[in-house]
Amino acid sequence: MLGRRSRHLGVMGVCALLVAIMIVVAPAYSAPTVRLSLWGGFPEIGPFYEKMAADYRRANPNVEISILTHPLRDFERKLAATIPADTAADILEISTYALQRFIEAGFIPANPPATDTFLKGKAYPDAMKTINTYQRKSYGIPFFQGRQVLFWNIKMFQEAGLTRAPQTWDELIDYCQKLTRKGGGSGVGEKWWFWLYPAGGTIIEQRPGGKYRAGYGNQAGRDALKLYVDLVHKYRCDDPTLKRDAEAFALEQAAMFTRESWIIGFVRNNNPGLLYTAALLPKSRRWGTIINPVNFYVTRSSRNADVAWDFINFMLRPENQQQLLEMTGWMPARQDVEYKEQIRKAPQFKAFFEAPEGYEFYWYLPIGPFDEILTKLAARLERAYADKSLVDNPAGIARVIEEAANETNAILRREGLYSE
Amino acid sequence: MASVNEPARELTAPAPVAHLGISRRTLGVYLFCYLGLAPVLVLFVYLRVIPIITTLAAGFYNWDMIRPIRVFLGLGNYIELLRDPNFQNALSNTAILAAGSVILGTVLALGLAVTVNARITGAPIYQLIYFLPVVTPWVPVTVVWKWIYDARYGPLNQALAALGIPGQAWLVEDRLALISILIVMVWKTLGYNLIMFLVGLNNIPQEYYEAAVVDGARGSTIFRYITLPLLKPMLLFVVVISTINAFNVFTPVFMMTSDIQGAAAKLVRTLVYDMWENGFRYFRVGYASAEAALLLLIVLVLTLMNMRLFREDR
Repeated sequence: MLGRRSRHLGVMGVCALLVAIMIVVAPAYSAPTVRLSLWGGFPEIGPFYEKMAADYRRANPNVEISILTHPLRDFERKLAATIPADTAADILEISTYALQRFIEAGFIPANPPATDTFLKGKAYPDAMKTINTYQRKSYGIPFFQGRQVLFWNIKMFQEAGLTRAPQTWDELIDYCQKLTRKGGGSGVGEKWWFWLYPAGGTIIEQRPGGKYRAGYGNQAGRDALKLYVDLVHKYRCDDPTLKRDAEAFALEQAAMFTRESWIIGFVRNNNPGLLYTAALLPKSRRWGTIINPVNFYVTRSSRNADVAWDFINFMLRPENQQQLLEMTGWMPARQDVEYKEQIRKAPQFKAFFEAPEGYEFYWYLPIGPFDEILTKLAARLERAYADKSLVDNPAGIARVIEEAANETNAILRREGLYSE
Repeated sequence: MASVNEPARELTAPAPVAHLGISRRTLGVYLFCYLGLAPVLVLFVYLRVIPIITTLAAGFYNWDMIRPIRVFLGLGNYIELLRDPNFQNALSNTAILAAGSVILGTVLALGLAVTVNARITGAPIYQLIYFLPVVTPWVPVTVVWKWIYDARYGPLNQALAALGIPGQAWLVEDRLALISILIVMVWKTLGYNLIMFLVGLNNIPQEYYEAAVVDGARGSTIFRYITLPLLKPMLLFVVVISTINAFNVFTPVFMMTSDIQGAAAKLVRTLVYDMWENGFRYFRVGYASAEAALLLLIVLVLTLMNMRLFREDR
């Protein structure tokens, strides 16, 4: 007969055995861990993705999401090596122009039906639907967008006796001469586009039959180049020793410059006391700005495509789109979400959501060689900006524009995309 | 024919001869050596020879690396390259950088080596100081130099300001950007050339110098007629290696002057940067391969020219 102590020991032994069995066996019955990876080209959005991954995990404990962000140009080169090798992440955050070749080669699957329906609904403007469609199928879903406005330093403007941003080219030239510290801005090709479009031109224009040609080998191109050459050499609106871009503006070395909405987050983190605001770009023959969506894609090598799309849909929820704007400053792509609270906290956002009558949008065309065309054009423009002999030299400006347009058309011809 | 009266020749087994006409023992030695080298040779062929042949072949095709379609162009890529202003610009910049870094890197290193070799106090410390940049990776070096060259806040312009010289847009103005890259290249490789020359100098027998002194030679005469001729093999090595490295310049250009967002810099286009851009940005791998083949040809020709120039007179 067992004593009381022996009985207790026996019970404890059985309990310990049962717990051990549960520890070993139970994981086999729990949901398998799903591992997702997300790669992005904008490091400042990294903290947002980490938060989204953590929030998503609370609702889906078996999903682990790893986030990796790179500076944009390095990210595009990384994709060039990893996508063809099927070693890219499950989810890629990138613009269409950078992924177009891979879409055409079949490395990026078309959207699932639910995503396709959502894209074609009221959440996105028609421009984004066009950009994300290839051969009648949709690829990727817009997440945020790069829309350009003119940021201006209120204090510097007041010191020069100016109370608002320039609204026309003539005002821009006039303001430049009054301001003691001028403008800046990097990204030569795209920035020139902001002056080219109001002049009536564009980088590449579509022709009948779905082909293209250079859209600036005309008076608009010559006028836009002349404006910039005059701004640099005649009116001294740009100083090559300036720190470029956001740094220059945040350091109050530049009175105005053009950029996307992420500047608001940048200035908040680096110089929260800066007195500045944003306005629509100045107009000339027409008026408008670039709208460049950055999309989410799920690669063909993803083993958990349905979970990847679920996570993407989670990030696209209205409350998370609002968080994106608040945390990073990047303008969300969804137009059917209310951003009043974020605009109230940072009134500089208001200009990004304005679209008065006559204000048009243009975008990077989803063709493979677009980046090559813009980069080679930028190299020619850089040489032109440094060439003082182009001041009051219409023949010189015409020559620069003609040679650049010929190069653009040669690239389009090489790719079988050219049509006069 | 052997006769009955001749003593019988002792029969011995002939030495075993393999099919190649060499003894089995010799064959065994050869086999052992090649088998020992085989793993390294296989790796060398796989990692070096095959990629080189593949690249040379790709130069005759239009290939975007993403699709398997390759269109044969013959010499089309090469003809387009020679007319491409970006390639011409890259070739010009690379030639200037190579010439500058080889000449400056060799002359300065030789002068330093002769000075350090003269048994000055603290010679090992000088060797360490000059060799430190060599062992420091390129990326952190270029990040630091980018800040040194900063037009507004860099210490270089601040030092110039202290001397009453206005600050320069080092990485923004065309020629200055080229000079800035050249300075970094020379600074980074000077220590390596210095060590090589020190090795060369230490291998010159002291008897030559003693004999020269006895004959009344001094200073520059000794250097010109004894040191320099006996240093020729090492000079050839330094010049060839420096030329090859200089033509392959990429990291300083990419880190300091390329279009990284927000960078205030004027791109100094070099051959390897142009290849990288054509291959991985524009997806023109055939075109970039043709450029690589041209770079190989240029470096090969220069190496042969150097070898001819520095060959020892027999």
